[in-house]
Amino acid sequence: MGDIVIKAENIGKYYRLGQINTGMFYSDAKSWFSRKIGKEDKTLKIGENVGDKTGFWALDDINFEIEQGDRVGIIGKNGAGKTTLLKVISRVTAPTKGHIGIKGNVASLLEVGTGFHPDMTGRENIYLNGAILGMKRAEINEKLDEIIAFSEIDEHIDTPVKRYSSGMYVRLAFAVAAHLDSDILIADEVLAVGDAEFQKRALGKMNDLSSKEGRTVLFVSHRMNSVKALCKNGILLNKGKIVLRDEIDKVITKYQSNLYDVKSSGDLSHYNNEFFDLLDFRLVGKDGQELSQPIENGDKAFVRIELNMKKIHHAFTAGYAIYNADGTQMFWSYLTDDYDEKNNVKPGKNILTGEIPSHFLNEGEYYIYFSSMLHFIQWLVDPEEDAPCLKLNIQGGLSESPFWTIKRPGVNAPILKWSIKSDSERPTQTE
Amino acid sequence: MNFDDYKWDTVIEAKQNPFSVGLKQIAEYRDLIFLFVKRDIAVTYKQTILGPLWYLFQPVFTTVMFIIVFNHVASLGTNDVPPVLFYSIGAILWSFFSSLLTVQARVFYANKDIFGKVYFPRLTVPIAIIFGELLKFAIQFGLFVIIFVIYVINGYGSFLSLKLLFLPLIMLWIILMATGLGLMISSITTRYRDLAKALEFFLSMFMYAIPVVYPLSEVSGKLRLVFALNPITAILECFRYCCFGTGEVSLKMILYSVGWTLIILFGGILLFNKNEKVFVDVI
Repeated sequence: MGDIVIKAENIGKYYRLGQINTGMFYSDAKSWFSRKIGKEDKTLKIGENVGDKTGFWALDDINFEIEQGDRVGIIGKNGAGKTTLLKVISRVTAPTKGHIGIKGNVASLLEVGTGFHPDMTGRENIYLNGAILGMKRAEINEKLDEIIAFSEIDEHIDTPVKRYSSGMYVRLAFAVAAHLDSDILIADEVLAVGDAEFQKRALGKMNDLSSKEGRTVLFVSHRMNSVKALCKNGILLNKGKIVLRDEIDKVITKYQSNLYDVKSSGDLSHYNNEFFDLLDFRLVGKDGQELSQPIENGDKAFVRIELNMKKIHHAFTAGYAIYNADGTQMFWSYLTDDYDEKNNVKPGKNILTGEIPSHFLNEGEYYIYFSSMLHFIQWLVDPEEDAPCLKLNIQGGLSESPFWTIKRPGVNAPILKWSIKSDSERPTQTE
Repeated sequence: MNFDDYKWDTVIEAKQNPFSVGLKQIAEYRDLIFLFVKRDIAVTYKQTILGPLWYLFQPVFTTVMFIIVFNHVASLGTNDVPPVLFYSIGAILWSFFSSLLTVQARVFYANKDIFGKVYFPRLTVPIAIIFGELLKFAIQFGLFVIIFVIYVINGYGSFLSLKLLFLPLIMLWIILMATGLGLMISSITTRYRDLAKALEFFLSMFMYAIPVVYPLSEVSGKLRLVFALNPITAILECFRYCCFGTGEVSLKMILYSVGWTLIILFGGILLFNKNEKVFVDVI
């Protein structure tokens, strides 16, 4: 067992709800005054604990220890308290109660490029951003070449960053962060930026930092494959409480089994917006009846979406995003992929049915998230942001062939067309 | 093992000493302070032709306006100090005070993005602001010194006085006063923005309520007492007294004002410390 470098005890973080305005000032003043003159605080209702209607506990009695060199992924749905926890540990905001002890210095990357000034050059921003993250000037001098090389900005390093493309900006920002010399690294979704190639490189760098240099890492991400690739252990948060603290695989499994389930909850009104009410979201079979799971690979399944359209927008679309159990996204599918279908959404009730092809996905569990947007304008329901989710379980029936009966390596398991041309006309002799 | 048995480098708690300034930590971040100063100066004058020369236009034009309006039109006296000197130092000092106060009063709001994402000793920002404003002041004060020297060569008084040695102390006095007040306002404005709006308006009025464009000796009767009760009056009068040897200062006034400065400074730090830990949640 290694040394404990972070220990949190009874951490609670309370947020007050509601707008800050005149009414708030009045009640602030009243409750302050009551407390000062030693009377009961009248703004709290009788029997009301802090945390009833006026606010909520974003973190509630959090206790954990983290050992030196551990890499811990913090996962949970939106609003579970992940970011709040990181903010408290990185001292951006103070806990309402409890305490945390930390050994060593902490570098927190709640965002890359914090403090970048658009009018300053790349080089100037490296210094400024580095200093904000806690680097000394001498340290930055030493690593400057490495940082510039990693960012691949080269000759543009003396150009104001406002003229950078967003990719360059992100690369530079990450390069600075990746060269921080800290004992503990706290990162929140920093890999969710840049293109796929860059994300891979960034993840590799993070891996190097933690495995080779023995750094302790706390990492928050919605992307299960990033978390899995980087972390050894995990903490699952739900509604501000720790649900599970275990090896990362077990934590991810637990998280995914606990995802939103339409059948059990049934209430989708949460997703209603100015364009539609989401009435139903379920998986059905060929016959239109509820799908009985697990299905076989050769069975067709359909995603059935029932919408009450309140407002028609030319860029509107709805569909689903499907992920495998690792959290890898398999594909997106939208109503508007087939252009003519688009015209079919009419004001009032609409039932959209999207096919999930047979003989295409591999054996395993899949998570299908509802997704809707105005194309290139805005998300209505972002599949990555706590969208309603269905689970699809595929077992067996991979092919008709006697040579293929079990799960194959690879993400997909499609049956594709083959043709053959032989030189000989003679019937084949089998041995 | 119990929590307290470990040797933690950092302990995060709900409540911390409200008056702690964390000088040691701030000293560790001196590079950051330097870079903040550099950024603020560089950024203000990027893509301008005249660059830092803008620092000089403001006091020059203000002085000219003051002379025309207050000396010629309103016929206010200057304690026998040449109007150019009298008004220029008034304009420079007032611009230093009001600009320092205004910038400090926006500390939280202007830096909410950085403060919300990274921890570093928050007081580095107000400190960097002080240095930035001081640099601006130094350039303007340099202009004043040049004019002063020209006057002395042409036979006005003498400037080689021991009283000049007090000027740095008086500057410190102004800085602490403006910073303390600014931090108080900036802490309160994270919750209630009204104060930021009020400040703008108030500062433009306030200039006339303190001896910027006239000496205290021009004020008589009961009004005099009201002026003397304003702690900023003493600072301005002291500064002029040290420069020109004329003006009205008494030990009582100085002590009174220093007392207020300390109260405001500690109040500012108290509010700032209380606020820096939670302001991210309310801004």
